[in-house]
Amino acid sequence: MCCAVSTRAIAWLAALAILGGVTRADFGTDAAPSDVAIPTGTATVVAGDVNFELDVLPILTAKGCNAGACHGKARGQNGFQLSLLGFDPDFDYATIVKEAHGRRVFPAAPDNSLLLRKASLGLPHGGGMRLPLESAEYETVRRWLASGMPRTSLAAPSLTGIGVEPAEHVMPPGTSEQLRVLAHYSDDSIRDVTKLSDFQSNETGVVAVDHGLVKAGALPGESTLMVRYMNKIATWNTAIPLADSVDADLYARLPRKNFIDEHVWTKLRKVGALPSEQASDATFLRRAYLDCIGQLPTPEEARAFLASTSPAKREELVDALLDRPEYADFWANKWVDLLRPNPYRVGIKPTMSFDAWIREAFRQNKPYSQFVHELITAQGSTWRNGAATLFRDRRTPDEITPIISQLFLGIRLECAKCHHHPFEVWSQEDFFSLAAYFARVAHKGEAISAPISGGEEIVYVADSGSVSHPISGKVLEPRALFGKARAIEAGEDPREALADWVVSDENPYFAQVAVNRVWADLMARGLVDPVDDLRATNPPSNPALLVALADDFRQQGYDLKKLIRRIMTSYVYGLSSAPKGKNVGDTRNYSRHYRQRLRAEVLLDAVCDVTGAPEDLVGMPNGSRSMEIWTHRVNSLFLDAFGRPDANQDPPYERANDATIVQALHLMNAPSLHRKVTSDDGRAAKIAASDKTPPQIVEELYLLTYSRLPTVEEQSSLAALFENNANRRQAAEDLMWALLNTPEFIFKD
Amino acid sequence: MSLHKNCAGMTRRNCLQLGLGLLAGGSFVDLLRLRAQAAPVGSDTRRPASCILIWMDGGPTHFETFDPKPDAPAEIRGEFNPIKTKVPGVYFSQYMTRLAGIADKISVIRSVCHNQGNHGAGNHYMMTGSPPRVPVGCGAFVSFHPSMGSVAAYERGAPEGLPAYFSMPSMSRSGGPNFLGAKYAPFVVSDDPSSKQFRVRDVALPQGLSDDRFHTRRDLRQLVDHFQRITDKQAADPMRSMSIIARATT
Repeated sequence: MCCAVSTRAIAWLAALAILGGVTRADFGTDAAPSDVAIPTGTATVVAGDVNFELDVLPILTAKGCNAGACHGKARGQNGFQLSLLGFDPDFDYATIVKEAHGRRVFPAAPDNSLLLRKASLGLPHGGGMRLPLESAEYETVRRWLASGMPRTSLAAPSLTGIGVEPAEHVMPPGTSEQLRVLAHYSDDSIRDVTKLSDFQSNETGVVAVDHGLVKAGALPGESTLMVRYMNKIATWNTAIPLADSVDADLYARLPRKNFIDEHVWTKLRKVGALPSEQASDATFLRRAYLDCIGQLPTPEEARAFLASTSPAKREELVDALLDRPEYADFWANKWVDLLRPNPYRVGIKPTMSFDAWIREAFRQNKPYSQFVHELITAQGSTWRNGAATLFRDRRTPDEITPIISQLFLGIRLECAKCHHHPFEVWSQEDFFSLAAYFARVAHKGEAISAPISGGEEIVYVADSGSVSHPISGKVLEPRALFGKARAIEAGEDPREALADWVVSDENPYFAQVAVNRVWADLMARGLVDPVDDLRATNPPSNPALLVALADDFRQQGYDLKKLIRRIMTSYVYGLSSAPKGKNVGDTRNYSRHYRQRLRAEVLLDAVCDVTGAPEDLVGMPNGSRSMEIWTHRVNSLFLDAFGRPDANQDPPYERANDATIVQALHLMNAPSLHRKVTSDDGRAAKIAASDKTPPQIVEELYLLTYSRLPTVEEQSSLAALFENNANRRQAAEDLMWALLNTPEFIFKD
Repeated sequence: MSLHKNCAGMTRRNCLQLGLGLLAGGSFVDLLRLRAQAAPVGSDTRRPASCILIWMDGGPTHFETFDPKPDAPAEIRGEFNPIKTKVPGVYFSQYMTRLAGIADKISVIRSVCHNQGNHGAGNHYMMTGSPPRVPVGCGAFVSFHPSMGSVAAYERGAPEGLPAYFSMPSMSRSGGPNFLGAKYAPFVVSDDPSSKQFRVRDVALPQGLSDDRFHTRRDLRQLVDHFQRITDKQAADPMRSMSIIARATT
């Protein structure tokens, strides 16, 4: 159940609780001054029954006055600026009461105050009607004005947290429930603030919410509601179960190959869904190849696997694939999306050296913790140490900070750069204190003169450098976001202490965001989605599984291959995508395998492998695979059509692996694909010229494209195409084209 | 002066027709065309407006096109003279005679400028409406924000089965969808439309492939396509988008 919150949090505990699936939302931080309502105005008046912090500010927030689209944005609206969502009462009080010689308030005739005249449309207001004349909110503000605009006294109770009633529970389809939001204050008093609270559902299709009225949809599913009152946030989880319950024995009898299966079955039992059947050997084979090395098996490899009678052949296959050299290029290609900079920003040579550094890390199977530690502390020449390019791209502390926290902690800090994070605990002070670890990073050498002329630059640690709070101007000491980082030793690069804290075994975010990424790659959807957005208001679909995977990853020394092996050798990984009974609607709990379209590079390499006609890639040695491309400036209409990072865009880049009309047309009609299929040196020509019988030709083409044997009907009906010897080559080309243009080729099943 | 040769007189409609016309044999492109004509755009029943953006990066000057300075000293006016247009008091440069004749039907905005220090940054500001958030070089191609075309694609959508917008002969500098994703990227037509060989890429059949053979292939594709469809909407199977495509391309 969701509960009241204290302002002072023991942050490690809070982080563990949030990530451990406990829905307690704890949103205080030790050093967020804006978090605590302490009036500092000189003219504090304690009078009347309404005051600014407790009564007026919540109305401004609830009515959207200080929203990001209105007066809450960085430059305000029409010269009137409030802090976003009322995170900074001092600022807001000064703006409303004192700024512009106090023209916004008129205590002697409160109804004539600009504040009320605008909000009630007595004067033109771009934001429209916000406080209708007879409304309770209007009356509250009017009374506050009439009583001399008092603030709370220092001794007055402050908001400590919010709670939601009733307790969390499952909701039968179609039912509704009115939530009540209770604000808790430091004097133990409680107010009902439902009317002034804001509600959001993370799955509006499953559960909708309007002013606290929760409405369960018709379909089974789960949802987390975020409730916000002022700067306090709570979550309320609910689920709509399947109509009929499933026999508990069925779950007990399900196979378990490792701990992943246990956690998935536990969750499935909770939502009342059963897993699909195991995928066929051929499906597993194709899936495993594509997931481990981003390639299709050759017909010989496929035949060998399908014919093998070893009881452990799936595990053996995974082990063998993880040992293949192609593993490094394929997995590096994923990390390149997150790190590769725009060459117009860093120069072309550092782009290449960074690419080489990332690939080498995967070639060595460098422990993930070491990989991250080296990146965070990188220094030296951007031509020699590719990792240093990160600091050529992100040149200032406030540029490097959000990417580090997003990639390696799954914490999106970008908002906190300009204002208190609207859904989170992070303040500007948190942001710039973290940024202070990078204060001494310095550059020498040639400045940016992109692209080709971008010269060598040396990233080094200077003797001094500091980061200040953008508003208060106070110089900030380096401070970790939560928990405790070790002290920085004299003469040491502060980033060493930061990197130690990031990769620390005690930092739950570090391992969780890493395993979540890999899980999402293999299972099509992250336990947390989006994969790098870990927060209480975006909980994992299976918290226990996320924690267990992270623990296992940590115990295995942050070895990515062992993590991949763990997931791929679970029973769950081997499930079929075909729905079984009611699990068709399950898109979050892995009761069946979710299909994915092949990544652009994987698909292009597969087309080249099938057709036997390699791609001619500019800037790459002959015969290179697209997986090896080191800059997105290498032209390829194919890769553009199927989606790859824009070379001119800032990382990280998130791929949308949807299928589009442009892709379909490209596969069908692109002249380059036509040349591949019909090439004299290509596979179709060779197969046609071989002494294979018609059924053998069909089998070969099926193994090449679908990694499976044709069915008896497929084989016999298609063999007829090859009966006429004069047409063998054309028939082989046409059948190859047909196979390449079907979803069975384009998707990983 | 002449406009950029790849764009001269070329509209999106011409461009599509060129490609489609080559295939007047009753194939999927006709379906595409029919679909384009028939498909309603969202719930908006008004005729969809078209927009052509001609982006002349380092192109002809204002003085020699729409904004001659008749009162400026000779060395500023340049070698061309202003001519009168159909709108009293509005002058164009001397070679824009036909545009001058319809000046009452066009709006010329002469006041737009950016405040950036160089081409790379200025291009980004003008193309996306957002100044680059970090300094960029003069020759830089950068994208920190979706471009106009992609924003329009995102806001207005596209008729089913057609790309939301086209770009020729390449993606413009600072063009593209940025964080909106590839779905809102332009369909890039890189070939030269003034060439006799010109075909809209991927829409026309590759050269050397006859219509008959294309039909054979399509029939064959139908024959081999046994991949199980998970049609239930709840399953959110990515193949569902393929079925839309299949309808458009068979």
